[in-house]
Amino acid sequence: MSEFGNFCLLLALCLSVYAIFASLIGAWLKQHRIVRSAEHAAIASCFSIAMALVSILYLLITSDFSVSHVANASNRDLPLFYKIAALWGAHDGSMLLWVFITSVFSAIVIYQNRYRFRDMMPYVVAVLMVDLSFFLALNLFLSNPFNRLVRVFPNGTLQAFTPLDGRGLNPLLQYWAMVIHPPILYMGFIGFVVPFAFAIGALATKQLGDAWIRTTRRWTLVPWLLLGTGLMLGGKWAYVVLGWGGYWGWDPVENSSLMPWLTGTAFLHSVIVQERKGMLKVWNVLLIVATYLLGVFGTFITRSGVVSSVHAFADSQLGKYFLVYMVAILAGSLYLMIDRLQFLKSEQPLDSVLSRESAFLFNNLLLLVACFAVFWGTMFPVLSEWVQGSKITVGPPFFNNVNIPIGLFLLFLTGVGPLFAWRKTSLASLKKAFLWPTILSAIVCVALLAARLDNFYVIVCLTLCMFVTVTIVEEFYKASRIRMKNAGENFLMAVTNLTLKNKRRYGGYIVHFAIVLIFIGLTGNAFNKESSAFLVPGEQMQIGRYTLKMVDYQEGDTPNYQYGMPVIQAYKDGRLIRTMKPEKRVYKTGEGQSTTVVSLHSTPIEDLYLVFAGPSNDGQRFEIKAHVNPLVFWVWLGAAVMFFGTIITLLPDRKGAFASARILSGESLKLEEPVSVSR
Amino acid sequence: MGFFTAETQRTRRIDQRACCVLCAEVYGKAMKTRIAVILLLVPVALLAQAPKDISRGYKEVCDRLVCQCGCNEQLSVCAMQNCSSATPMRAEIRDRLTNGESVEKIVQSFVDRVGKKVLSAPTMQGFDIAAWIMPFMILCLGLVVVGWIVVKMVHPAPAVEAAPIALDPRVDKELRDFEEES
Repeated sequence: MSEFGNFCLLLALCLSVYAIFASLIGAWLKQHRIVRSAEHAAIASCFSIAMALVSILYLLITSDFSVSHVANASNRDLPLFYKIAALWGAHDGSMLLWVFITSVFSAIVIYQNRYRFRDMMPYVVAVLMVDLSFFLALNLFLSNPFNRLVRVFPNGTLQAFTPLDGRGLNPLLQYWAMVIHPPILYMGFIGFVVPFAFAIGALATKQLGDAWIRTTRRWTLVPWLLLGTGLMLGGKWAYVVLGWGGYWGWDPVENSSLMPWLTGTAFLHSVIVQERKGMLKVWNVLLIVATYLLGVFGTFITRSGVVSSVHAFADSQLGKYFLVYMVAILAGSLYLMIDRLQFLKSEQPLDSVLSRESAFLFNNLLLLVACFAVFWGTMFPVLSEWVQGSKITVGPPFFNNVNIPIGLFLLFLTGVGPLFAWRKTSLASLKKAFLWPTILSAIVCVALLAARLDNFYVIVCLTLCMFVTVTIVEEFYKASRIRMKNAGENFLMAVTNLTLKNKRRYGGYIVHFAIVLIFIGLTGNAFNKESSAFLVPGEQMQIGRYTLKMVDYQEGDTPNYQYGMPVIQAYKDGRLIRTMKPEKRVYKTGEGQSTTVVSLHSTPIEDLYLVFAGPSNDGQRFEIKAHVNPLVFWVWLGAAVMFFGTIITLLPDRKGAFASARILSGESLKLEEPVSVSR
Repeated sequence: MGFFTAETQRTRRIDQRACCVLCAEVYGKAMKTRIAVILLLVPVALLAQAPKDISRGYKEVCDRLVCQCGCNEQLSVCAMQNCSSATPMRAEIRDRLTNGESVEKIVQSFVDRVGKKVLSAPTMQGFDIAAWIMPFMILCLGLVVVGWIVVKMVHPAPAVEAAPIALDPRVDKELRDFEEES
C-alpha cells in the first residue's frame, strides 16, 4: 500500500506540473482545448492525491508500523478516531493533508468556473498548480509519509524494520478540539490561495476591475472564517488541555496563524471600497499577496524550526525551500503589479476625509500594524541573534504591551466606521450619530471609575465595547423601525428580514458585535487569580470566594493511559456548587508522557479552573492548582457569534438577485417593503 | 524550640493579657494607658508575625522569566510537572521573596546567571529597544502615509451629502439593494 501511495503522489506531481505548463501554453496560444486539458489534469491530480490519502489512512488503521509515519504517530491501542487523526499528528502526514486540501480547493475552483473567466482561468489554474506542485514536491521528496523504516547495521547494510508497536499519537493531541483544529486551520491557510490566484490572474489578463474580487468574496470569507475558528479551537485546546490557565500564549506558531487572519480581515474590509468606489486596487492586490505569503510563512515557521515553539514540527530541512518559494512568489507578484500599475488606478477620487472610505483605510492601517507587531515580535529573536549573537525571548509581556493599544484603536474604529457615510459625512450628521454611543459609553466609563477600577486598559476597553455595541444596536434599531412602520412587522421579524435582506452588511455588524464580546472576555485577564496547594482528602484550600475541599482520590487504568483524579467539592460563599474532578493522565506510549485534563466550572462571570498537577514526591499529597479566570465565557461566546455572523454573510442572495433583476427589467415600482435608512 | 514557635507563644501571651485587662475595669487610669499601648502593640506584633504575602511579587517574577527546559514558556505558564527548570526556579524565587529580596534583584540575578534569554520580553537597552520602538514607528509612519494619501485623494464632489434624501423610499430601497447585490 505504501508503494501505491508513493505512486499516487508522484502521479499527482506530474499532473500538476503538466497543468502549469498546459494552462500557460494554452493561454499563450489561445487554445481552449489545451487549457481544458490543464484543468482536467488538475482535477485528476486531486483524485490521485485522494488515493494517496486513502492509502495512508489504510496504513494507519491497520497499524502497519513498517511505515515510518504510522510508527511515529500511532500505536495499536489508539482509538480509531485518533488513528485517523494521527494522519496530521506528525509532519509527513500533515503535509499530505495540506496537499490534499489544496488539490480539493483547486478542483472546486476549476469546476465552479468551468464556463466563466475563460481568459483568466488559465493563469488561476497555473498559480493554484504552482502552489500544489511546490507542496507536493516537498511531500514526495523531503517529507514522505510512505517512507519505510529501515535498520542500519554496522557494516552499512540496510534491512526493513517493523517495530512491534508505534510511538503513539502525542497525548496532548488526544483531545477533540485538537483533532479538528489542524484540518480547519489548514483549510484557512490554504483557502487564501484562491483569491491570490485570481488576483494574479486579474493582473496577468489586465482585468483589474472588481470581477475577481466579487468572484472570490466567498473564497476569502470561508478561509477567514476557518482560520478564525481554527485559532479559537486552538485556544480552547490550550485552555482545557495544557493546564496553565490561559488560552493564548503568543507562541510563534499561534502568531503565524494570527497574521494571515489580520491581513485577511484588512482585505475583507478594503475590497468593499473597491467594489463600491473602484478604489484601493493596488492595496487589495498587495493585501491578498501578503495574506497568501503569510499563510506560507506560517507553514515555514511551523516546519522549519527557525523559531522554537511547542507547536512546531521538529524538522528543519524544509526551511530553505520555503524561503526560496516565498521570495519567488513575492518577486513575481510585485513584478506583475508594477508592470500593471496603469490598470490599477482608482476610478474615483475621495470626496472627503470624513468618509467611510477613510475609516476603512485607517482600519486597514491598524490591522496591518497589528500584523507587523506580531511578525516583528515573532522574528525578533532571530534578528537579535544575527545582530547581537545571542538569542532573546519575546513573549507575552511584549505582545500584550504592543498589541493592546493597537487593539483598542481598532475597537474604536469598529464603532466609528459605521457612523461615517460613504463619500462624505457632514459634521452635523456625525454629531447626531455620535450622540448616544458617546453618552452611554461615558456612563459606563464613569461607573467603572466609581467602582474604583484601576486598570486603565480595562476601563478604556469596556467603555469602547459599550460605544461599539450602541452603534451596532442603533444600526439595527433604526432600520428595523422603518421596516416595522412600513411593512407592519414586529421587531423580531423586522430585524430578521433586515438581516436577511442585506446579509453582508448586517452579518458584518454581528461579527463586529462578536469582536466586542471577545474584547469583554479579554479584559477578564486583568483580574485572574491563581493559587496552589498540596492536599490530602479532608483538607481544603481557598481561592477568592471559593473553598475547595478534597474529598477523595481515585486512580484508574485504560488501554491507552493511567490516570489519577482528586475529587474536589467546590463551595462558593459556603454553598456547594459542584464536585470537580481534575485529572492527570500518564500515557503508556510516548515515553510515559503525561497530560492534564482540566476540571472547569464556567459561568458568564468567571471560570473556576482546577488542574491536578500530580502527587508530591513522597506520593502522600496531591497538588491542586486553582485559577479563577473572570469573563472567559465571553471569549467563546464571541467566537460562536462570529461564526454565526460570518455564516450569515455567506448565505446566498437569491431574493436580492431577483429584486435586482426586476429593477433592471423595469419592474422596480412593484416592489413592496420600502425601506430607507437616512444615513 | 524553633524561632517561629517561640514567637508565636509570645504573641499569644500578649494577646491573652490584653484580653484579661479588657475584662477588668478596676485597674484605674494607669492600667488604661497600658491597655491602650497594648492594644496598639497587638496588631503590630501580629502583623510582624504574619507570613509575608509574596503572591504578587511571585506572579510578577514568574511572568518576567522564561522556563529554560526548552518549552520557551513563561515560568507562570510552564505546566510540566517536576519540570527540571521551572520547579527549582520557582522554589528559588519563592525563597528569595520570603527572605525579602526585591523583584528586580531576583530577576537581575537570573539574567546574570542565565543571560537575557531568561527574560520573557526584550529589555529597554541597546538593540532590544528596536523591538519596542519599531511597531509604533511603523504606526506613526503609516498614519502619516495614510493621512497623506487621504488628503491627496480628496477631490470634493459637487454633491454635499453622500446619503441622498430619498425621493421615494421604494426607489431608494431598490437602489440600495441593487448596489449591494450587484
